[in-house]
Amino acid sequence: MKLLIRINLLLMLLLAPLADAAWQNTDSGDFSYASRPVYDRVNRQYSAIVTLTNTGNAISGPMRVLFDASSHDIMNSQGTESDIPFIALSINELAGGASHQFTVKLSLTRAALAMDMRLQADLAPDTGLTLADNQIALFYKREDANYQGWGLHVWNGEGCGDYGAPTTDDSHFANWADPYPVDGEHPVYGAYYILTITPGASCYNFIVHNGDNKALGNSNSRFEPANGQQAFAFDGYPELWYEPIESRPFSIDGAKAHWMTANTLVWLTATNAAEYRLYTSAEAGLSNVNNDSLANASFTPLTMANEDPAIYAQDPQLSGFSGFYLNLTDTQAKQWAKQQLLAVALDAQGELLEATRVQIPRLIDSLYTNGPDDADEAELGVTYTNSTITATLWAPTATGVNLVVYNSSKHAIASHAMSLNTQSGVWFYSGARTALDRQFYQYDISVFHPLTQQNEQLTVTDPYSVSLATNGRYSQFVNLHDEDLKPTNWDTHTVPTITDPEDAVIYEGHIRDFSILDQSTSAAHRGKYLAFTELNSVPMQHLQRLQAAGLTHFHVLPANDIASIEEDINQRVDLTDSVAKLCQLNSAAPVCGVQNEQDTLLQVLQSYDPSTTDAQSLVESMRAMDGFNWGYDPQHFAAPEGSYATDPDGVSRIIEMRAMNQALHQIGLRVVLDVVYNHAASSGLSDNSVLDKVVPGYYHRLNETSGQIENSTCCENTATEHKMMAKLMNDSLVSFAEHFGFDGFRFDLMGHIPKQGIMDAREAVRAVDADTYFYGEGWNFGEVADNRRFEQASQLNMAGSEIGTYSDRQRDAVRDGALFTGGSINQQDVIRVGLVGNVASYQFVAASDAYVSTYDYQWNGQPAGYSDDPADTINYISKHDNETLWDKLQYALPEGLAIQDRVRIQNVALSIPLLSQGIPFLHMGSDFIRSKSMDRNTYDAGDWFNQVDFTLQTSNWNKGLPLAQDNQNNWAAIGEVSANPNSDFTTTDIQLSAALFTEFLHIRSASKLFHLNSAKDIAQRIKFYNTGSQQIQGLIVMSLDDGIGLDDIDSNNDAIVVLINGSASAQSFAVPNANGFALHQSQQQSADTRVQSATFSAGTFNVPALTTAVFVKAQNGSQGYGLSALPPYAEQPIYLRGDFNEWDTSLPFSYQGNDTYVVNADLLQGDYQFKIADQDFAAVNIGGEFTVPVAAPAILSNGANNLSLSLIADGRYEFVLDAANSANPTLTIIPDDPNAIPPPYGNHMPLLRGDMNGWGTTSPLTYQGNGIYRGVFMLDAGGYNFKIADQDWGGQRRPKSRG
Amino acid sequence: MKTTPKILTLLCLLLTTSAQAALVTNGDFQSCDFAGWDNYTDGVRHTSPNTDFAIVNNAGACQAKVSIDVASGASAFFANTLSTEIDFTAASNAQLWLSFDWVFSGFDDGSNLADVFFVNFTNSLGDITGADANPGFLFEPTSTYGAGTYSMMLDNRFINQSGWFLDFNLEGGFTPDSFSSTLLIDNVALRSAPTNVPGPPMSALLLLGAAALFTRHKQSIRTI
Repeated sequence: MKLLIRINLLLMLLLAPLADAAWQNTDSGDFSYASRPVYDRVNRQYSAIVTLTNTGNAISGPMRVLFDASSHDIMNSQGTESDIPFIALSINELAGGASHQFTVKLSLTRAALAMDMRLQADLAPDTGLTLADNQIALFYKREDANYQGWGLHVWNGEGCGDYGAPTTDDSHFANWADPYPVDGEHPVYGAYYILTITPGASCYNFIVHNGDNKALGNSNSRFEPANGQQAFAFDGYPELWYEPIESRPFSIDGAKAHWMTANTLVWLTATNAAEYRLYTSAEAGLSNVNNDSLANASFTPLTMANEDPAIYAQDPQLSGFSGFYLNLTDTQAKQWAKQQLLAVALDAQGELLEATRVQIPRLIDSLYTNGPDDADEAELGVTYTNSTITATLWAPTATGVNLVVYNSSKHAIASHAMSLNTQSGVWFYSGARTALDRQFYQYDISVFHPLTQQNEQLTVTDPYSVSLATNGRYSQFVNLHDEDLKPTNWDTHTVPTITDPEDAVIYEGHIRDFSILDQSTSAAHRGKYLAFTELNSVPMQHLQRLQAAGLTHFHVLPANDIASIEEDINQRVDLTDSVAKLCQLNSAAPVCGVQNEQDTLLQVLQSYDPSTTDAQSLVESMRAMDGFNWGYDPQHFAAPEGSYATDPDGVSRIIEMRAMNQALHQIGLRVVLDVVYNHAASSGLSDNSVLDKVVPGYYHRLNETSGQIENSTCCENTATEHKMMAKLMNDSLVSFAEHFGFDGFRFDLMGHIPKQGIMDAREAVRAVDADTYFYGEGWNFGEVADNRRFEQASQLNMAGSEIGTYSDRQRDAVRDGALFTGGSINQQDVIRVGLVGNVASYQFVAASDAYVSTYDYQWNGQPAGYSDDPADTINYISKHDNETLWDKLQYALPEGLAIQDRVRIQNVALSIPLLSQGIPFLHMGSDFIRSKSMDRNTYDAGDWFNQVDFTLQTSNWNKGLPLAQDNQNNWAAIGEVSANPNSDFTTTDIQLSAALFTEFLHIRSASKLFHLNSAKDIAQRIKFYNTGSQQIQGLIVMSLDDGIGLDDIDSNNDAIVVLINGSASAQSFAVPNANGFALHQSQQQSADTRVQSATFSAGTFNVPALTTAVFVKAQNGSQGYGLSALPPYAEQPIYLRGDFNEWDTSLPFSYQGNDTYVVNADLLQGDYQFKIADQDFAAVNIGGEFTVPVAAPAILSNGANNLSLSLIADGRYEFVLDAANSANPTLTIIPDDPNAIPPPYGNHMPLLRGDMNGWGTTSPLTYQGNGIYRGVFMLDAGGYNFKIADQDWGGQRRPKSRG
Repeated sequence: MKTTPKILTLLCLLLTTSAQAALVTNGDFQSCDFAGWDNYTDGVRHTSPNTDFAIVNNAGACQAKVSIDVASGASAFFANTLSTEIDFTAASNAQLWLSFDWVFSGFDDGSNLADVFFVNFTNSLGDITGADANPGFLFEPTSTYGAGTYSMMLDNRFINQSGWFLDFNLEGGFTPDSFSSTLLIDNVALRSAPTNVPGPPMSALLLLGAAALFTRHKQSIRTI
């Protein structure tokens, strides 16, 4: 019998590792036993034979009995589970109704036996969910078991299959803001979500998230039904298991170790281990971790050590990681960095406690960039001498690199082994110029890759490519100095300049949008770089008109080589192609078999009813194959994009990009390139992956614990905090500036890049282009938010740098329409903040009536104003992102508002950034009412939804419901708004808007007052009227001063007053001291007849409804008086000075706006002399030579003798000086204590004297304080004459009230 | 006293006509000593005569006597066990039959916590095992005094197993005033018979045993 038991045990041991089973309670075990224990003489224990009877269904699997309670100690327990002893049974099967006996050994307690037993079976676990064939269930388990707010974002497609109804009909479907909620919580496996799928696909996309926090890492998760219908996930880890498991099994836990230098490593280790080791394997043999696999692997001990604080200062996200010392030389570390690594924690018995992958970018930086002549000083890419070409590739972790050379047919013609410079990690090969020039090449790299945890043989292009074959499949040997790569006069052409960065006005366009459907551009050049060389085309004529009016910069969306556009024209389908071509490439397109095959896709789209989803359906079917994409998916950072060249294969992209810039320079515009250094198009082993094949795991920003590439930017985030990624950024920027003629750079998601990196890059570019200008998106979010990993190049951090960040303050305030719809006056404040260029120090009277700086003005929990210099701010209300201005406003405006008013609102809105300090940034086409048919994200919405018509004839409004991907949830609202006939604008409206835009552009450029150079200038010159809680809603009044006392920066004007009237009625507003103003000359002749009626008269400005009017006070000859923006006594402080403070300056007044100064003083009862004066009793020396009353206004006089003051009580007194009339200001002294106000009639008691009391003195009024007398009298009904008088009917200060 | 058991035993023997020789040494205590047997008090084996174990010699018809009597000098605190190792050597197709006579008597109160008597196999691990080779007893613990003949066919998994002991246990009670009890054991026999010999169904044997026990119980009152 014992033999049998042993066999069973053996079987159990063999089965255990194979089965994903778990102990589960059963409620079908019935136990019976004698209450009398029997003596076991062998063990000298009591013993009980227990009979277990299965009262339920058959149980199959190992079983054990837990003793929750017992009168005797259980002597033969085989272990404990949560301190509860258990005995394993010898059986694996127990049929329903069957019994089994087992023995319990007991302590020698002479008492009746009582035991509370529980049967557990080690069963293949079961969640208890019953799913239909088309259902899947996802379990998500958190340690805190708190699933509040954790929902499931599910969507169709994107490489996986579609969900099915009812999931897809649910309002939570594809709804990030309101995700699919938990269906239930399982006590063992956590929260679960049950979803219906359209069966047949290999995967279904989902993200478990709570707001912006993602539960399973940053990557999208994929449910793969082939593995099972139920998947199990654990918070913080991306893996899915398809068998029920209670907890995440032991496995390599992310990549929590960071090797920083040859001798230092930090590790977020949870264990208190006896020993820590760093293992390495040249053969990548550390993928399956267990004691055996480690037995023969090489390792070095890790010794816990306190790290240099600089380590954590450099990477604050690693704070809390434990420090370790390891004893390796640089040479050893360089070798180990090429190999698979694993950090391991062991207990005292040598058993594995923890194992984690190792991140090495900081080690790489330490080993290869700290010297004076190593990687970061190297010239990478291809370099030419007269006779040779050298190809250099930084690949320090590669174990071998070959240069493979291809001819123009892309046939390999040579392969050269490259040599490694071990100091820099650079591989190089030099060959004859004649053999290599203009040939194509790739690198074959042998390298360990952390994604696959294997040694890989990879083929990759050069990250420093400047020229490429079609689709970037091969790099090309090109010398950018070659004459044949330069358009005529390239080297000598004139680049327009501006004096100050604040003088810039930027127009943001997309190279393809600019001309793709323009009939005046030659067909071959439509959508290409060369369209810009056709100076007489309608789009170029438009740019020239804008330039003449004041436009200075044309900004092109990314034009470095991008991954998403098919460059092979044969594989592409565009709107001008036929239905037949689309159907050849995508037979599932909705037009196939439906539309005439010979029709162009443009014709088909034009035939659709715009209220339907037909257009988007067709665009959707071709968008993966068309030639349009915004281009935020960089593949090669230093090469021009090929799809914009007439020939994508080879050097045309270089010549033509240069020609574009030369042409734009020729018409007087500087050119900005939109650059994307926050992510790359791809990573890992993907076809479009470049950086991550060359130095795997280095160029991308990895999550500090999971080791996964962060993707908060949408895509594969890059790590510009790593030196060689920063170098790639700098080198490519310098190349685009030096060799392609770009005059500025706009950084996509700049907040994901270190501030220092951006500053360094600007210095690098300034070395070749001194007046370059940098700006970018300074948003603060993602893994870098709040300077979590480094000081970001984000909005607030960039203050004072003269590197611009887009301001969302004014943008949101304008786009939400509050100015035009009677909305919050706080939004008007925020518009004002934008009008002064977000300058943080600027003070104004806010809607709360407080006089505050824009920095102290709270905007969504942040300072509203954050810049130190106007060039820190890019003001915009429309750009490629989100809906166009027109589209966005249509959501906000009342349905019944007439089209003419809507157009006026569009124009008033557009005038705001143009009249704002800082740098205005304008979306191409917004000047002629560009619409994208309400699409909020047209990055891949094709030419149909992105069309711009420079002929000003047609609009892009209401061209069909926009693409489902980003808009489907909003289709109902979009359909309603689009169907409103009041939003149908006409050619006349378009042309009016274009004309008004040009007028405002001219008004801005004609006066330096609209683009001031400093915060000081702004404070000294700009003032707002109509502020505070009582302001007129919809009206902003701003003065700009250029009068006497200030540098004469506008020789034509002494002052300007801008009135932005967003209200539906004409407004009049009197501005103190305003005189001599007239409507701006441009507006007197405006294309808008309404603005021509704006007038100025006797200090009052009159502006029609929905109009921005600009008035100027012309300067005639020498500088005259303007309109001061300063407080009445300018910038000097003034003080309350008198006997009470020995006439010192201890009581300064603070300026409150609205010409008012205030100071609080704690004074004692007594008589005083005092003045209000500046430091020297000079320009401000206010007196009056009389006794100032308490709690009554008194008019003072600047320059007069001392004032007197008599206080009847100690206390605090507020001195309020209204200096609207600065020569004769009004002072009011208000005590905190009302009783400190003396009786107005002194010792004279006022009496009620009249018919009711025979004009006697029997009815006195008693003083109540605060200037009030009071008496209560009984009077008969009737009419009376009376007076309030004192005893003798007069004398000095007699009561004045008369009946 | 022994008439009826002998008849029953005879009946069994008649039914198992081809039974082998006895496999228990000195099962009938005819050597009038404990040769082949061990005496344990509280799990400790006696190596010399003691007051807990005795041979009752009734004119040469000897039987074993186990006492548990705290008040009258028996040394056991927990239990006394009369034990012998069993030789299960038999043909693989054999049937093994175990039988013995017993008398359990004394002065305790018969309650659940009183002195008990039980019989089981055990091994060096103390696995208390019954006739079916499962945990359990050959003779369930009882505190009810009585007498009888036990006969049971054993599970054939015992065949050729070694290291098994047959234990007759007399366990002291937990009652506050525990009175003495005595166990008489005799005619312990293990026999094997080929399975091709038709035997009575187990139920018949049990019935026979029950009838014997009933009868014996009555007789025992008279004879003790």
